[in-house]
Amino acid sequence: MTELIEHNIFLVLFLPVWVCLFILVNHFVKFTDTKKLTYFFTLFSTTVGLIFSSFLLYSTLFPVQRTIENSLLWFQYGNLSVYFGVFIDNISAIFLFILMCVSLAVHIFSYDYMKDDEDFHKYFFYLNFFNFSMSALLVSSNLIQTYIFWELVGVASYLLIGFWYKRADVSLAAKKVFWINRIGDFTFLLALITLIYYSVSYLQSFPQGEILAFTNLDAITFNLQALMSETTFVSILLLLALSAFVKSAQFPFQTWLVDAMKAPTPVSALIHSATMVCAGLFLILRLYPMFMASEFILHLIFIVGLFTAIFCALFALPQRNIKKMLAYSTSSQLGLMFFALGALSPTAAIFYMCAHAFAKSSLFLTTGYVSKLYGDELNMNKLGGVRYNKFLLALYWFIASVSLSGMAFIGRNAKEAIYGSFFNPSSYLTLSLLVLVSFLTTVYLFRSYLKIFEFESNLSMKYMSSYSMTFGILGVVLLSLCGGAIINNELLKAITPQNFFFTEYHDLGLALILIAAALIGISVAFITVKIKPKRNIIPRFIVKFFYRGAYIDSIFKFIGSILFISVCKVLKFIDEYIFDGCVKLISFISVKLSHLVKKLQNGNFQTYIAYAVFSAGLILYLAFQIYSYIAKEL
Amino acid sequence: MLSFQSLIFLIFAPLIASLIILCPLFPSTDTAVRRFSKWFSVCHFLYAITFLLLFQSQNPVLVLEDELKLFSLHWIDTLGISATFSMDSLSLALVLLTTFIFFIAFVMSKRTIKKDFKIYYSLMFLLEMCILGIFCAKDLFIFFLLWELELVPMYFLISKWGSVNAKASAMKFLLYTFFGSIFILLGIFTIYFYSYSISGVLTSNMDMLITDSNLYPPQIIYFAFICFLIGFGVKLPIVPLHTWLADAHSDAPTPVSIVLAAILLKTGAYGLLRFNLSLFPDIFLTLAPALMFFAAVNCIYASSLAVVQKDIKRLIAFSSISQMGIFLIGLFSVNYIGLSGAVFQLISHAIIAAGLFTVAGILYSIYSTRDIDYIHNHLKNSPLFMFVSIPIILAAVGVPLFSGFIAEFLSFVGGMTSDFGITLPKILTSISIFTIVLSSAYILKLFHSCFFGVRDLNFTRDISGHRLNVLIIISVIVLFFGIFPNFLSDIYMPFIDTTVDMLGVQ
Repeated sequence: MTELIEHNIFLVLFLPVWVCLFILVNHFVKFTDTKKLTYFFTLFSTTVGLIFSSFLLYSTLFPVQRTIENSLLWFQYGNLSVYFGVFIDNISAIFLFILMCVSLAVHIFSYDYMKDDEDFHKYFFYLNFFNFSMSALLVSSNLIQTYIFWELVGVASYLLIGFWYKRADVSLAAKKVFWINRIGDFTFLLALITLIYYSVSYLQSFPQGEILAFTNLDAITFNLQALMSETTFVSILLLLALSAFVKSAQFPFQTWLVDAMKAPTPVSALIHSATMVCAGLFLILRLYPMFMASEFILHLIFIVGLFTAIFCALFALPQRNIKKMLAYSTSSQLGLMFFALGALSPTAAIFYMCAHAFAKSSLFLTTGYVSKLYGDELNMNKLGGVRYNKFLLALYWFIASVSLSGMAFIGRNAKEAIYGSFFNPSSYLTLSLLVLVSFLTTVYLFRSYLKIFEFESNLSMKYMSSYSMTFGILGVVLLSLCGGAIINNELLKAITPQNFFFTEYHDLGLALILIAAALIGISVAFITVKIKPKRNIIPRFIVKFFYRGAYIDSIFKFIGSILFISVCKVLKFIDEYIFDGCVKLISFISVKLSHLVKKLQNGNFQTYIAYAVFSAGLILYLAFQIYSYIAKEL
Repeated sequence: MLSFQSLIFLIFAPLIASLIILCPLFPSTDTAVRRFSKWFSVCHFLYAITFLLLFQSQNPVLVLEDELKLFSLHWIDTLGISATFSMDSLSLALVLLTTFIFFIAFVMSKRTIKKDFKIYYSLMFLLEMCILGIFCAKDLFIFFLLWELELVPMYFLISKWGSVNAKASAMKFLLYTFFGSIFILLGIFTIYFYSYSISGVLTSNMDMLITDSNLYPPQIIYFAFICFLIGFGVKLPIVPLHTWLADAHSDAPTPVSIVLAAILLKTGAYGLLRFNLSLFPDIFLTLAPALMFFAAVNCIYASSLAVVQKDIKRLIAFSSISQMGIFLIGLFSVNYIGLSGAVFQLISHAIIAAGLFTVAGILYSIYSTRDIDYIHNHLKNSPLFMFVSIPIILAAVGVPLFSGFIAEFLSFVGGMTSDFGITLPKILTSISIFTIVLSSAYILKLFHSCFFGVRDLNFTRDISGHRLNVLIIISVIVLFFGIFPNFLSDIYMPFIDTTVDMLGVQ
């Protein structure tokens, strides 16, 4: 079985591409217009992907950690040989598994969600394209391939955000998301090209064959450190970390994630909460041996992660739009994972990534269902009382919230894994900040739960029930409920990268602190929603400050559309009036000169005679001068 | 070489087509002339493909050489000038590109060109002949002759079939490029006479000219080099010399814009490769790190300008300048990777620019304006048009799996690995990489203004027929070369190999 899988990895990797091709050909040739066929192929490719990824997960981890490698030469110019390959180790296996789980649930969910849309086929085309690029990113065998698919997942995300292209707001959001992501791509490419420069120019000191292959990352790191100065090395890592921050919506780049919420909700569930935004995390994990070489960068990741975790949780609090709240929450939770990476506990980060993926995609999919019931209404202040009609939806949201806020289920174990290493007297400040994050998480999640599912609302609800949507949600909710059985301690121990160790952390004190924070959070949420205190305890401007996301968006807007555009306009002015002005000046002068010369030809005989006499005199004078000069010389 | 494969025929076949069209017996209806031109260009392209097969079946590296003789005489024998043409792998790649782009241009002429069909198509064929001749000329004077001759059809094509301001723009184009040509002529005379004074043989054949920098006084060889640089820099264009381009591109009719951006700029690039690099390798190596500055300026400056353009075609024109900056980075890096990337960029950009101008032309035919804001405010729904434009847009942004990325990547890696002993070229390359952010800014501005945020939801104006087919063909090619870059680079690789050997660099 294992051999079968290993030999057919490329086949499975390219399965979504075949589905894409089928949809594309069908789009133009139109031999069948059944949505069911598209759906069936999509489900088939994703299911096969899930089966394969689960087998891969177990075959790479048990009985001992091992890697599956297989690369083909893509192109070669001189010393630069670029490979397209597969490199599956513990990290890519677990990421792939999560991708496939969430992806299958989202694909199942999407049928009823999108079936009335005229671009149904296009939607599944993009989704399959995303699946392909994301899985190729996760299994990539070298950094160049990682970069290529890093950009492609960005493109897939952009295409899906711009899916409802007829709306003007979607257009702006998609554009902005692409630009901000492009900055991350730029820093990645700069770092990548510098790394390629060292590996190509000092070829003899690097392992032969594939350039920047992950197989021998330790040797590469060692050589790079020997070859380049400390500053260069750190700045390359900084560039890579920056691009990871952009992709994973870390402070101050979290604004793109909020704009990305213009995408169809299942897309947000898959791309903007569970999988693509974790690509930044994946990059750092992938290059962990390199990052470990620099204390400074690790501290930076630690601080940025913690900062994002706190502030994005604060930004999530006053949001009215459910999806925006979830987007800020995603940033905040990703911040916790980055924090764990910076604190040198990669396993905890991976564990938390799994827990978050399951819980957050459940939340998003539930949101999708609810908004469908209310005619695409996403404002939680207008919603209410969903529980009385759709009790199960409320239950799903509740389970996911409980898991994410760290009270029970897989979420608590994951939170304990991150918080555990700070549960000692020497780092009480960090721990208190972490507990604050967990408290804030509970507040915003339960506040939205109360607003959406409890009490009454004025909006009328469409009565509909959908099997595909229910099954989709059920899948991820079950995973966040009992995902702990799959992502168990044994698996986590096996996943732990070499040179690290993962210990199960069970401490009653920590659990009590977490649960207490969560319970206080729930009570705060209940008080603010139900009792609605008359007097604002928190000043209005602070609420507005957080609601606007600390005006980071406006700063970006200022830089992008005012500062940058004015620089461009100045350049345009220079181009038109200086470069082109010179050209125009020359043509102007030549026209004027020819007008002057033209006046000589006025047809007047006397003038011509005068010119002739004058010219003859001039020539004679010059001839005489030259003659006398030559005579003097001789 | 098969009996029917003649280099002279390959170059002068368009002239025959041009004369056939001009023949009074030939019908003057749009359909007849266009169909003839289209099928002729298809046959011509296939004929060029047979040369590719010939080159690929031959090993070692093949260089075809052929001379046009009247009554078996050289052209101007006393001055050592002969109408010699030769084709190496670089010429082959560019010839294939030219024949393909002209096919696209002929297809796109349908419903774009509305008057004087016979003259239009014969001028296009004349232009094609000149460009093919430029890419294959072995003799300096033949090169210069065709270089100048090419301006004549281009001038009339822009001024007669272009938009309102076309006459002024065509005149600007003509005078500006003539200005550049003076320098080329100066350069040609310099090396022609100096080589004669050294060897005592009057010749203008590139292979027989002596351009060894050790035999020349430095000021003379630098003078010749700079003359060529300015001359080709106007055509390419290199930044301070670029102001003709945007006017000419925006006022020309769509098929002519396609030819301008896709091929005419490449003649400048070809000149840099063939004259500056191949004739003066030592000087090129000396000056390359300094010239890298111009490459970086091209990249950043032109793409910043593209961001604030209001006219679709001007925007694409500035994007062309910025893309040529990437070519320059590859070229001035003077190493194997960089040169491969530079030539890759030439061909890839030609196809992408053709695609972009096709999109612009279709937009113009729908909205009858090139003003981005007007189009955005009167946006009609065209889902299929949008869907088939996406690959071209992504390729223009430089997304991986499209040919633009390979070109950019190789050029940037080349620039970074350039070995001049100083770090300045590396820093300039790093700055130029920022162009990928800028390119996404202007291309997405174009794409979003023209397709997103539909104003009139009920009104659908979509594309079909030849326009759809052209977009699909271009998308497929761009994607194909992006996924299998070797298919493209194998065509011109022998040129890179010989050049790198000659330069003695890595």
